[in-house]
Amino acid sequence: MEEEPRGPVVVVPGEVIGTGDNRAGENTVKVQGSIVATRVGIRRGGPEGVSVIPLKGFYVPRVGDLVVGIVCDVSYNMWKVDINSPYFGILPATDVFGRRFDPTMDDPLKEFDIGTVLKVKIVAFDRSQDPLLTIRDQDLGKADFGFLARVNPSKIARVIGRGGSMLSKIQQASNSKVIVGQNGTVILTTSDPAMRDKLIRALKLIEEEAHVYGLTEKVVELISGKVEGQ
Amino acid sequence: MSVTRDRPVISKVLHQELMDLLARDKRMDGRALHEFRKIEVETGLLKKAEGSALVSVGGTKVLVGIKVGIGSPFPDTPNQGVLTVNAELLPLASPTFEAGPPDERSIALARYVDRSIRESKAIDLEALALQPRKIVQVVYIDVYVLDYSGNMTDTAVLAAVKALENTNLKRYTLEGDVPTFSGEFVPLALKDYPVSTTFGIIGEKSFLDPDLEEEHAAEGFISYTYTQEGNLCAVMKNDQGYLSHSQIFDMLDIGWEKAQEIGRAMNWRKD
Amino acid sequence: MTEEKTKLIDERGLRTDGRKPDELRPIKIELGYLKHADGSVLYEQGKCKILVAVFGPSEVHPKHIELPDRAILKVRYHMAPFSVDDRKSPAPSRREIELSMVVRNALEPIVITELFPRTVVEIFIEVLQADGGTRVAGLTAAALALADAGIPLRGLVAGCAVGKVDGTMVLDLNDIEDKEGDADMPVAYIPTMNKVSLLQMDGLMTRDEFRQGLSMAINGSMRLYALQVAALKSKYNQPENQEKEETQ
Repeated sequence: MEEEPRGPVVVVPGEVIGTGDNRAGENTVKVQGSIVATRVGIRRGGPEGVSVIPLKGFYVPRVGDLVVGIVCDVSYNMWKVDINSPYFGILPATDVFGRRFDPTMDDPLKEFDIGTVLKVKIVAFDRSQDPLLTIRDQDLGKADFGFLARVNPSKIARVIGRGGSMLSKIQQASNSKVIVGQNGTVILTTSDPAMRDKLIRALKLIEEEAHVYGLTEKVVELISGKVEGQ
Repeated sequence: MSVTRDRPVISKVLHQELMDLLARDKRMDGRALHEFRKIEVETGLLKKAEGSALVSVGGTKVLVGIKVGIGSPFPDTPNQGVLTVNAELLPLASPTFEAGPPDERSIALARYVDRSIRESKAIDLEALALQPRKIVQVVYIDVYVLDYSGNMTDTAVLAAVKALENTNLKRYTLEGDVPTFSGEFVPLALKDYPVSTTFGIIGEKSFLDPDLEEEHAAEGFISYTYTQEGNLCAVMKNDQGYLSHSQIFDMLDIGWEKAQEIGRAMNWRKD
Repeated sequence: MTEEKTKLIDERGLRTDGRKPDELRPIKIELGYLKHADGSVLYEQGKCKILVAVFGPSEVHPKHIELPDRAILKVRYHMAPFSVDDRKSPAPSRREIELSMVVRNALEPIVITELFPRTVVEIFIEVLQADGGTRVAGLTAAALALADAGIPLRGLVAGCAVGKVDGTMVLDLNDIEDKEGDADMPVAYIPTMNKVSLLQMDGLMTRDEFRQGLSMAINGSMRLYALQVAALKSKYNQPENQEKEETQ
């Protein structure tokens, strides 16, 4: 079965997209024996089953995901982090200060104030409690500079591309590091405002034309092409 | 704002037992699928009310008191008396009822009782107009749910009708614009006796007069109110869940059979 | 003073607004009408104008009303003071309280709440202009706004009100028919599951008229469903807000 449809088949919630024999993939549910879409989006069929790539979706935390969040509350032993999801993430003080964390000496507020942008990983999440975060890993921690852009989380996979191909082309063409959070928050580190604008437009293009062939070429052209009026 | 309420936890064992019994057309308390629980009626028990009735259906108890006063008509019905229904789900009736202003359940119940009585034309509202456009009698129907064990809808409608049946109205004479009580009472003559029947549904099975456990487990509910001629004067699909239209039609007919049984038991019909 | 009753069906069998008994009013759907809501729609059905906004899923406040195994819905059906002939007080009336519950009960079956425990999805239905059948029009619009927000749904729900005027069963009541007719029966239907999730009847009708009315309402709901599907699909093809005008 093809992995990419010839032309996008737009489906709506409740629409039957597969029989009981198929495996029910993302954004689908079994209703009265058939597989139906649960969101407006593009139907995808493959050996792994049927799924829907939604037009709009919000981020649901997954263990192992790297996400970009913003500290929104601080208490004596943890930070509450807005990870652009129905659930706030919790970063325990012990994760940052270590097991020797002493509430009388180590002050979380001094370390990461409200509004701090953090690159974190999801360590645990099971819907009965808020997602647990960590900064103990390569490339995680406070993000000191950069511009935050928001991308529909359901389109992040396209921003990264197969094997990271799209993201590396974007970074190459813009000559800057771009940090992509699975939750749809992206850090643009370029200090060139014109390049930043181009990157923002490139992200918007990927969001809108995620299902179109030849997208990678269009994105590279947008970023590295001539700027109007220059 | 209407907010999802938590459904009381019904043990999986109980739920399974309920389903197994239903599959064999049986219920936990031994009733048939379309059988009411024991119905008891007591009328005229409240001496300060113009009419009253206490009705029990199984463990559900509803008390209705009728007060009749004087007031002005609504602008769009100037020649009619006023009928107003209020319901209180008393905190003592159930752990899920809280004290405070009427919540959505009590409002929905009051409005259903109101529609059942009003649309069946059980009360001759025009006869309550003492001076058209100016002075009318106001019938206050207050529904008090005392003990909640499932299906307060049918119990409340029955209690309201029985209470109205035994209501006595003050007879007034008009001196100019001032109504004066003549000292005489006249019975409020009902022109119809609406009867409500409520069903719960689980899967393909429907069951009449759900008790408390059945209400917790049901996937949908529907109430039908019939006039004595068999017409519908109110219908309400209540609570969460859904129904198929074939189920709706089946229960419509069964409901009418049962409404006639109630009518006979209450001496409202002789057939 | 009750004047001579308005004639609701004329000699040609047409209604006060010229419609045939089984004709729906014209529908207009504008998805994504509000920029900051997670999902929204401006929905028009004849002279009814209804704005619906959806937010969520998000954290529940106060926390004690959250449910451990699923999301809760908060639904507000409200009529603006200027939506009716005689100004209505902005405070929620008993009718609005009951209808908020009835609409919520009709939406619960389609939202897959088990996917988001301990969260809330808020649905605000604001009737800006009322002309009969507002609870089911609001519900039909709410389904669109939920889909627009990307809230996972088992299916869509659509509804319309049937009534009895001058002895004839009619589909999609307007205000005069609602006020002066003999019965008013709002119905909402989930076409992909073949189930009714909202049903009320207020008035007097025979059991046969009820059967006829229900079938008529289900048929009308299916036609509305087709318009919902078309509007949602066309939004995908044009990400910018697009007005979709449909007539029946």
